[in-house]
Amino acid sequence: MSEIQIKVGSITNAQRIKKLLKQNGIKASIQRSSNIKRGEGCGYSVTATGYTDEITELVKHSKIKYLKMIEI
Amino acid sequence: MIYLDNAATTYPKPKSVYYAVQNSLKEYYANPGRAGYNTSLKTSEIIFSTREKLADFFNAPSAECVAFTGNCTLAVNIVIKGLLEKGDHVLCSDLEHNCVLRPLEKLKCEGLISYETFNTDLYDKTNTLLDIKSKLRANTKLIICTHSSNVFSVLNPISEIGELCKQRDIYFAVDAAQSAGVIAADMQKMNINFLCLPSHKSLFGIMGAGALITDSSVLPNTLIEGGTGSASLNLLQPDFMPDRLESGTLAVPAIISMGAGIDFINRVGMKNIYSHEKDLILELYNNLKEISNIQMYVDYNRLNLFSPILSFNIKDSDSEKTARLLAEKGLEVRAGIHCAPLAHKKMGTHNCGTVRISPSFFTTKNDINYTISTIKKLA
Repeated sequence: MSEIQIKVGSITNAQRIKKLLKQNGIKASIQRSSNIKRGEGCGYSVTATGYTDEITELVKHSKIKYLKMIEI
Repeated sequence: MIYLDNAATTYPKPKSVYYAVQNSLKEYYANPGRAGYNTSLKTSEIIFSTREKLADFFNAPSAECVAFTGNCTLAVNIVIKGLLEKGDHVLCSDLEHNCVLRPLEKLKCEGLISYETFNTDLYDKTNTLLDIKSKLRANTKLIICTHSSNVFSVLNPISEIGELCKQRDIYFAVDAAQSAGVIAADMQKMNINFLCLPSHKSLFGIMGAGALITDSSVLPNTLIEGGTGSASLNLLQPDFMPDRLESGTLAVPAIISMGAGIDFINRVGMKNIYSHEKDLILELYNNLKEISNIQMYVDYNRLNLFSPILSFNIKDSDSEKTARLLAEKGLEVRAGIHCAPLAHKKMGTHNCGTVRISPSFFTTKNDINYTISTIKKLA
């Protein structure tokens, strides 16, 4: 089990990803996630707890726009 | 007083809507999509759930396709001004509200676009489609029309127009101000690219919100730009929905009320709501048409489907005067042109306007019986 952080540009897409993950039995929550130093500005991220491959595959195939996914 | 101006805004609202609005001020007070503390996230959640409700209700591809606006007029303006470019041609119906006509006329006066109206045949959609086909040009980019006339209750055949637009690769936008919540509109089945709607009419929400629902086929240019809570270091407006079209703080209580209104409609059933309102209109129509001094404009017995609106005049009497006299008898109805000048030209009422009666799900048969007897006395 790992913690994956999925960074997104909009709160709406964060909510869509959270819903997708929850529908698949994966614990997920939304946090404010601004990265001002990297020039991304304000945004949100979804933190999901589960198997890395399962989470990344679900998000990648969902067609929901995300900025990046990192294991934390 | 008996309120019969529901085409302007519905009253009363379902009790659950009043509760939702009151609760929103206490529980959902934080600005959504702007911060990370609990109440801001909680408010974002309920806004998202309203997006989902709207997307489900109108069968839009997904929740992100729903952009909240201040009202239906703003949604229509975004489509027209955000989509059209110099040299484009547009078709709209001859029943349009000024929310469609004025933006089109403005762009036409600025020399940017040309537009024509097609004739909506009140009783035969084949004729409507033939007229549309005869007016299509190589540069026709958009057909925009009202789902239902806000004066004469007649519907445009949006399913067939959507199919035609799909075949000809033309964008299709629908102004659902009078139909949303009472007559079904399925964006994917009807090939609707843009659906514009208000919160406060048959969706039973309060004033202050509307929505532009897109099918994701194209992202309109922005009318206004500003803070979205996303990608804030970028001076350009975000290129993703719904942020692209939602600058500034959302009207949270009004949006929440729209969600509560949709829940109410889903509980009661849109077919039941339509059936009740249809029965009231037919009762009105069948009684008023027997009065020789009453001028009616539409034969409701020939229509399969119509929005709950009835326009009439007492012969040789100004519509505003009739409405005033009805108000004195406790009936709140609207008179005049109803912001739809071409519809009145079409029906020959541009010099007098009409008296418009529009009941809702909460109007009773007794209310309608009193209305009929009062009009009989005046006529």
